[in-house]
Amino acid sequence: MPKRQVFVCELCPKACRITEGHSGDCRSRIVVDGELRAVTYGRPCAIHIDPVEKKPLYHFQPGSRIFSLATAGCNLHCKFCQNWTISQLGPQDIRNIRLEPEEVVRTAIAQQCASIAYTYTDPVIYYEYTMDTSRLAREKGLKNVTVTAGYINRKPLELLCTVTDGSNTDLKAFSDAFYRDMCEGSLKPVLDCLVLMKERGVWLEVTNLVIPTLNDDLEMIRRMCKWMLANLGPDTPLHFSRFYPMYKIRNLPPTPVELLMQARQEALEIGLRYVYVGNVLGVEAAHTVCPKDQTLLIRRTGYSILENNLRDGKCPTCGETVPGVWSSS
Amino acid sequence: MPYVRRDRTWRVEFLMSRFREWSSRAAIGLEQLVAGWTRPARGNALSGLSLRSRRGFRFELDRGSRVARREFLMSLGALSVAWRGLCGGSDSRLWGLSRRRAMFVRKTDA
Repeated sequence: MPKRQVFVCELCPKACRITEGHSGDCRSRIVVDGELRAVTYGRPCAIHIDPVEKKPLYHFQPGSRIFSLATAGCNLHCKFCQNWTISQLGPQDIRNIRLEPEEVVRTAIAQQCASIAYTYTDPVIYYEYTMDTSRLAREKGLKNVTVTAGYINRKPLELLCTVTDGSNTDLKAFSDAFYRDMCEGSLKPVLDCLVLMKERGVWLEVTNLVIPTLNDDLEMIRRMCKWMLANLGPDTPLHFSRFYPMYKIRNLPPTPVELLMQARQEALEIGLRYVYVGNVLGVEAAHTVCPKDQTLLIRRTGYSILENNLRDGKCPTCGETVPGVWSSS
Repeated sequence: MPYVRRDRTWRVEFLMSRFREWSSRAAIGLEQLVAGWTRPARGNALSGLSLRSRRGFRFELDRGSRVARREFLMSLGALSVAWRGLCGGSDSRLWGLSRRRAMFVRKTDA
């Protein structure tokens, strides 16, 4: 009896073993005609032009437009996913369009976007599409941004870092049990990813979606902030994002704003210098303030910039350098 | 391609004899689709089922309920997509998707 060939996908830590006609856990890598295929290559299911603040990236070309795309599927299955209508379906179950990398770059330039975001689901699962598009975008002077859960193996990440300028990476909780029970993943690969991206010079911002009763323990948040301080440094922006009932977690209320503020205060006291509160309209915690003399640097409401006082990435009052990617050059 | 003729009954005929090159895989796929339509939950919309006859596939839909008719026609749309996929020699579910080789793959035996 002939042996059945198995393909082991080494893109993410799940290491799916896939046979002919089947897909990996992400639903987007399928064995067809004796090869593992990235079937969503050039077939995005979502395309938008967003403000870069929506990613959220607050220290990366503020106020600029970012061409954002996603393909169907995801390698994590978070029960609270805010984009579950595209991330928890396979490309066969959803309407996709054809948009080859050349066309993505051409359209982004035509629409006066400064960068391209690989977002909404997770660029890890459409890795080849992200890589090829990013290379072309770089050649044309555009920057590349990944919005990811960071659940990826070291080798592919190293290659991805060579074409990535910025990333907003989720740190969903500082608990392996949370990753296992709520996301079908694990914590360590995400921490490794964050450290590697920082080492490779990718501009990094971290988002923590605070969900009432599930990951809102202040002691855990403190441990997370201490880890960030020790491994990513004090200048890595942290966004505490407000949860809204979604997908399989509809029984919990939205995160109380006071709780987000408390988490932010803890993070600042631990030593992180740029800590924001997101998904909440009209709070001061969305502004960038000079950590040295408290001068208001960037005033935001929602995804809009109301005021930008930065001068060449420095505080206009004390001259303190604020880390980030401030120009398109 | 299938066509719909409205007379006393809604009738759909697939003149399969024109497609002699059809593989048994395609026939099985179609059979499964039809089996799906004839489930009791769909109000027994179909009758007169005759699969793999020399003339090809033939089945009729009683006028039945509006829901049953609508479901049948929606299935017909799905079938036309499946048809293109199957005739293309590949899994119909993957019709229109990319065949780009994935990176970071290791082959092994089961």
